[in-house]
Amino acid sequence: MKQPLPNADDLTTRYALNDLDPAETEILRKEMHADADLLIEAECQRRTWERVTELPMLSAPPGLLEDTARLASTHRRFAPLRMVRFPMHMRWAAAAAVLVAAGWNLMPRASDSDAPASAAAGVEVGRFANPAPPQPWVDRRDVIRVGQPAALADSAGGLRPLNDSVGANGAGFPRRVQLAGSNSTP
Amino acid sequence: MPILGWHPAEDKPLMNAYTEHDDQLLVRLYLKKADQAAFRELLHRHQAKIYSYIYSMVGNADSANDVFQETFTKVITRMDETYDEQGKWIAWVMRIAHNATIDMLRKQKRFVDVTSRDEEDSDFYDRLPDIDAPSAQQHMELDEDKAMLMRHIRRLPAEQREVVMLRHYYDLSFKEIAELTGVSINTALGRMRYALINLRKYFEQDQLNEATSTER
Repeated sequence: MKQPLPNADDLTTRYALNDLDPAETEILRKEMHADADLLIEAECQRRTWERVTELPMLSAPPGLLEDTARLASTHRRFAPLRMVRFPMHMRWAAAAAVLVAAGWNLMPRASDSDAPASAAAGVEVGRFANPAPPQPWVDRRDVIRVGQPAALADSAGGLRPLNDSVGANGAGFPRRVQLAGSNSTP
Repeated sequence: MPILGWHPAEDKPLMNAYTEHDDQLLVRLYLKKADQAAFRELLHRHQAKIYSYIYSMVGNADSANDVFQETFTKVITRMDETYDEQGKWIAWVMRIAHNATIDMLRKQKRFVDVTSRDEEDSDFYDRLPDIDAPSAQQHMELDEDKAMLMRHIRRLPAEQREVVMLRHYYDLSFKEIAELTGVSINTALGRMRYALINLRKYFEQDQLNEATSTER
């Protein structure tokens, strides 16, 4: 006895909708040739589907279409234009490049090694670029201070004796002068 | 198939320049150059099948208009973020339309009332708003058979109607229908089969009624 086609229902429906490939069509045709019920079923479904395809295409109301087009126009006018989308690996590469560049700028270079730290940090570079020649100055304890020992001779040349005198009894004596940084005792 | 109502291309000859472009190019023109004519062409090209599908599923013009508007609002506002330019634009729009339609059907199911039952029995074309009303010539084209056919389609269970309409209006394969509706291909095929069997019963009933009325 001949075995019925296992997926006959599916094949029949797909036949009705013209969805079968040539090989499947051939199999079903042979089956329909042998089985009249299957043939009737397939033809009925095909005719029913043909009637369904007569359903009309309906257009949306003109006002609705116009509103939709207007919405599209307004939205695009206020929305930023679409940016080019880069693939994920390119985004990672760009992020890495930015990080490397930032790191490079922060790293101290050989030419900067002699510069004071504040200059490297970019703080008041002008103040340290051409320092004023050292001048002797008097601190709070009346001690003359000189910035560098080499400038001591110049600084001492500029000294003059003090005429004022200090003393409780009025018989004054000259104030002692001490040169800071000097090698000799005054 | 006759197309009722308005066609933007007929009113705007400017769009003729875009008719040769494929959807992908039109989408790109709209997104990257804010080309409004490109969007109008896309809308003109696909609105009828989208609207017809929605209408055939929800069954009345007001709901169909709401779903259509909701669909395109989502399309316009989400195109930047969620549309992948590699995919087919119309498939993406159809998915949005389908989901919006299903949402509307769920809402309708929640708020079934006497009015909706009345509407089911009324004539398909009577439910079209005045703005949709076809011209006298078109009225002649819209014969009683088509109105009857639409009524029968509306009688089908929603899941069977969905498969029939997705196939008819969107020309989807059963694989695509299965993916869109979240069922297996066999289930989609089974639903189509039962839909055709049911429709055949309705048609036979019509013939029987016609024969009876003729005899009287």
